[in-house]
Amino acid sequence: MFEVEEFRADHKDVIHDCAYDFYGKRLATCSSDQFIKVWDQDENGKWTESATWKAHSGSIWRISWAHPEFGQVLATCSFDRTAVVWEETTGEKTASSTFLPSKKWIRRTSLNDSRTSVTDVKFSPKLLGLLLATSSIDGIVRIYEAPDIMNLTNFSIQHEISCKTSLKCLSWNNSLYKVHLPLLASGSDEVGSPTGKLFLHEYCDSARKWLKVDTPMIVTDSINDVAFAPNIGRSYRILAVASHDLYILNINQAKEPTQNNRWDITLAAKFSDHNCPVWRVCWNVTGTMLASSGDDGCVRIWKMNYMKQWKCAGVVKANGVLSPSFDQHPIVTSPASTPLNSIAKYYIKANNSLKNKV
Amino acid sequence: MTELSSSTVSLRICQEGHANALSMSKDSSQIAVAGRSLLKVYSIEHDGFIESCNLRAGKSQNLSYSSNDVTWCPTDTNILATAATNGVISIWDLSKFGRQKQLLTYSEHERTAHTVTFHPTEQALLLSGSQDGTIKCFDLKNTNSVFTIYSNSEGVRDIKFSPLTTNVFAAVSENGTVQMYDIRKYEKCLLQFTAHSGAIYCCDWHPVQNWLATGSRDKQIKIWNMENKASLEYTISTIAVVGRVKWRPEKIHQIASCALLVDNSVHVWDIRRPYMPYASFNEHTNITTGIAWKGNNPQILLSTSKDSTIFKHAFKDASKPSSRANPQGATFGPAGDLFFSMKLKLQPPQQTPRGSKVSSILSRQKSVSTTDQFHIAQSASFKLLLKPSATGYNCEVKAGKYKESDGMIGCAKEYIFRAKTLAEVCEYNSLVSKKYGRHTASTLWNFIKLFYGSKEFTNRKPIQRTSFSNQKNNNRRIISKPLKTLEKSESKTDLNGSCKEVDSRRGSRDFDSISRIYYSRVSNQPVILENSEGPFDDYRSLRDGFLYVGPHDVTTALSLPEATLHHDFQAARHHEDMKTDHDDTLTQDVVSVLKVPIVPQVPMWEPHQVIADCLHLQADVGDVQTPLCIFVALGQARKELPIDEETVEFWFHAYIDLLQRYKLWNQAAEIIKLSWFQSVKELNQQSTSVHTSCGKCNRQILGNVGWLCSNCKTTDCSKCVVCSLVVKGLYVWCQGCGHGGHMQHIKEYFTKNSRCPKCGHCCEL
Repeated sequence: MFEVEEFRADHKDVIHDCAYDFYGKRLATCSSDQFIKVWDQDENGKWTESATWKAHSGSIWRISWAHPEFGQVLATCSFDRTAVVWEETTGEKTASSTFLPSKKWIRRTSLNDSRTSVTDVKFSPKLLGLLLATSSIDGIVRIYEAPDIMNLTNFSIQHEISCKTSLKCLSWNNSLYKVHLPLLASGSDEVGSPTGKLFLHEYCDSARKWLKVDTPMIVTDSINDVAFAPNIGRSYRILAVASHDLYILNINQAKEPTQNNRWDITLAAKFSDHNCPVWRVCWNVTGTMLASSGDDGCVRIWKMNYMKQWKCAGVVKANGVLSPSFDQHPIVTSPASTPLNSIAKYYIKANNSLKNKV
Repeated sequence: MTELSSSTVSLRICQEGHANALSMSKDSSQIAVAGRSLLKVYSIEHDGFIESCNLRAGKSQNLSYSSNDVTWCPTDTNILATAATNGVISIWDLSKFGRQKQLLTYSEHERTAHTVTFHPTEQALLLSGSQDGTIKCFDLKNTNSVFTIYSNSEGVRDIKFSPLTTNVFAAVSENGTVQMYDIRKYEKCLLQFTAHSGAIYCCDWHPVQNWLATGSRDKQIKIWNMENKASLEYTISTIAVVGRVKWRPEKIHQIASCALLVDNSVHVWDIRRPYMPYASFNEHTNITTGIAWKGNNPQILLSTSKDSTIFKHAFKDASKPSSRANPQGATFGPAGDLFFSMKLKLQPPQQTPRGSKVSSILSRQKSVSTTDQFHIAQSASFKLLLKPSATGYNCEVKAGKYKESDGMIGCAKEYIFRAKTLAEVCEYNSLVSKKYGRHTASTLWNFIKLFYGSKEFTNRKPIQRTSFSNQKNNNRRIISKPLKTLEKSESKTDLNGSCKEVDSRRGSRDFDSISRIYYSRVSNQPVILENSEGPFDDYRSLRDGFLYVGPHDVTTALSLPEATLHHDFQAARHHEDMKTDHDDTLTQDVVSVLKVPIVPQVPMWEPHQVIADCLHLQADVGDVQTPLCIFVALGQARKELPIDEETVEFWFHAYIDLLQRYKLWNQAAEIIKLSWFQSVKELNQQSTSVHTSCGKCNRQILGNVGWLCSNCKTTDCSKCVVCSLVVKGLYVWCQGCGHGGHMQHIKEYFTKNSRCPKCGHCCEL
């Protein structure tokens, strides 16, 4: 299903997040080594590093692109308790030089409201303007807005939604459907208590507030990632939740809304195939393919069939192995030169059993 | 090792005034805590602390006792030294009573004393560092200092004796330098270097290595190898100004730190992984001011804080930020390629060959729990390039030529929306989508051609529309069928039968009763009906790709000539009806129908609801292109379909967004143009106005004529500099001098010249 190609990102520590831009021509990676790297694809499809810079004084957890309508804008969040908005600026073209104008990423604003590690940052769908949501260990989802999209230095906090438990991830519902109210899902990685770990909030226009929709008790394990499927023409919303298992929830506006139940949340599928914690879920641009990655290093691809049933469409194992020659180095050099022997292996499971079912 | 199992305990030490420092006695049984109005000694018990001595009991608030630092004499467990904020160094003897406890005071420092430390072996010697920039050495036998070193700095922040080289100590100061002295030859500095760009607030010698750790205002902890001359070994970047550092006993590469500002936590770092704390203690609610390991026990850390508490942390209770961090990242590109990065797993050295799932799980758990492997943190990244064939289930079957996104793009480029007849549009688009391997879309286009492209449809009477609405209310035309049966060829008749049942009930007079029967079978699930002799050639892959949407009969009818369609359609159906007899009530109906070979009274089946359901389903499974394009192509006939306007508007927006993502601007513009929604049309009209201003007076040119300035009443500003005529079309100009004219003229002119024809400016076009 996939051809696996190794990509040398050369970060000095674990890469925590990566993100394609809107057009898929740029790629941003962020790592614990406190660096952001931006990669650009040229006409021949070759990826080159176009920028790298030290962005935070702590591990960078997540990175998010704004819609290109707002320029080349990135947001990152970090262990250092800040979320930062970056913008790529194009230098003035000088008459003398024939070179392309130099581009530079500039820190536009640093959002320091959290007293704890900021675990996720996401730009809103462009329909809502230039909004930024952050989640943090202190259990608060903060929503910032840039009132003037030409001035990214001014992000003001608009809303604080308290979930009262440490948050790990969040996701905007990116529907272009104007009757769809903005919806925000956030997940907690609190361990232990068997309470609902998934929080859904909707924006209430009349109250000008984000109101809690539901805390479905479907997911009670700690959540590592949540992702709304891009809503391209679908009448309902799909939310993928990476917890100990993979959950796929259908979220619909209730047909007969009552005061306290305006949403219809049903479990569309639950998969334990990874057999280990699921770290990431992500959707392709049309929302037809869901990828989940687990601690086993496997990426599983899920697709919905015309029966609206979810099926595993493929398994890819990208297997990188570290050589064990690290042992007992009294004084080792920097981690970059740690012997690293990454071998990419992959195989595809032609899932015969599934074929018979369909 | 009973203490391994002990858990974190805390004690509130004082209601007023916070702690500034903490010192562990040599035998690790007692700690001294010093603060603004506090100087107490606690003995460390298994389950808490017991106050053994309060050196400030009954004392007045005297600045001389407001301590910045406290240190325990390494050779005599009864001797303590404190450094006070007013510069006084006090020596305390715990064996004495009452006021006698205060053995000595040295008031030599002119400003705040930051640090005080005893010589590790010579009991009588101690050093103090102060804000006045001096280091003083005191002998407890004297009442005055033995010597004073004038460092070249504002303030000496910390002094530590080297555990490896006797008599050598390091002092760090606010200008970012580290100095090393030998107390026997204090006149000359052994070594001096600038370690940080900001003030250094703390330092600590490694207990075994010849390493010095320094913590600074620049938020970094640096590890220096002090062999011969200092060389930087590691740099840890923390999130806040570093207040104190302390090497963890027994663990060569681990060091604890606490911050001077912002951060209340105590972090333990592995210097080989200098970006993320290995462990954190987050219990304090204010800045942590003192940390100490319990002797040589690496499992117990004590800390004091400005929140007036002492904590005895058990290491097992520490939070591990790395375990909560997400070690994997994944993102989909528009072409369906997945970028994936994951933390590499370390393979334990001696391991049986991997292979069985169980062993790999075991090894994983082992590698996670092994603390020694924390510092090995690397990610591998992969680009997972979607292969064209990947439609899902039919991996090894027949490889299609196009990826999902390619098919979408191809169709977007080639679809037509207007032709002589709707049938032509549909036929063409059907072929296009087939070419790109989108069989469902192709079939849907064929349906549309069949139902809406034919003359019968257009000549239809409105009377039949009422029947449509009845049907719409009374029954659903959707049935669900277990998919398994579809696989078997024997099930064919069954399927055909059930399909026909649905159809035949429309012609039935006993409408209600039958619809009741089938009502139970009706569900919200969409239909999957399969036809094993479908007209499209790529049928097998379709089955594997799991779809065929729509009523059964229609596909067979596809091959029939258009004009005779409906007639044959009915006839064929009846023909099949004869063959089946599952249902008694139905058979009766069928027979009664059969008696009349042509059934003119039977209202023609209205496909609207089915088509609408198909389009909805198509959108729900993530293909908005097909339903939207069909809708656009339908023209006025779209009004037959029971799909609400908002949904279609949504489809428009979604599809346009998708086209723009693939940079199909022309196609997006075309769709916008064909739209009948205000909100969609507006997309093309935003930010399209161009404001012009007169080159002479800089006023905005208003009015209908774009080249006449109403202010200066001339057309000079819009004249071509080459031919001197007014430009009534594209006007190009140099942004440097503002002169320009007809594009053609300017182009020609600048192939030969490089300077402006009017002013001689070196133009750049």
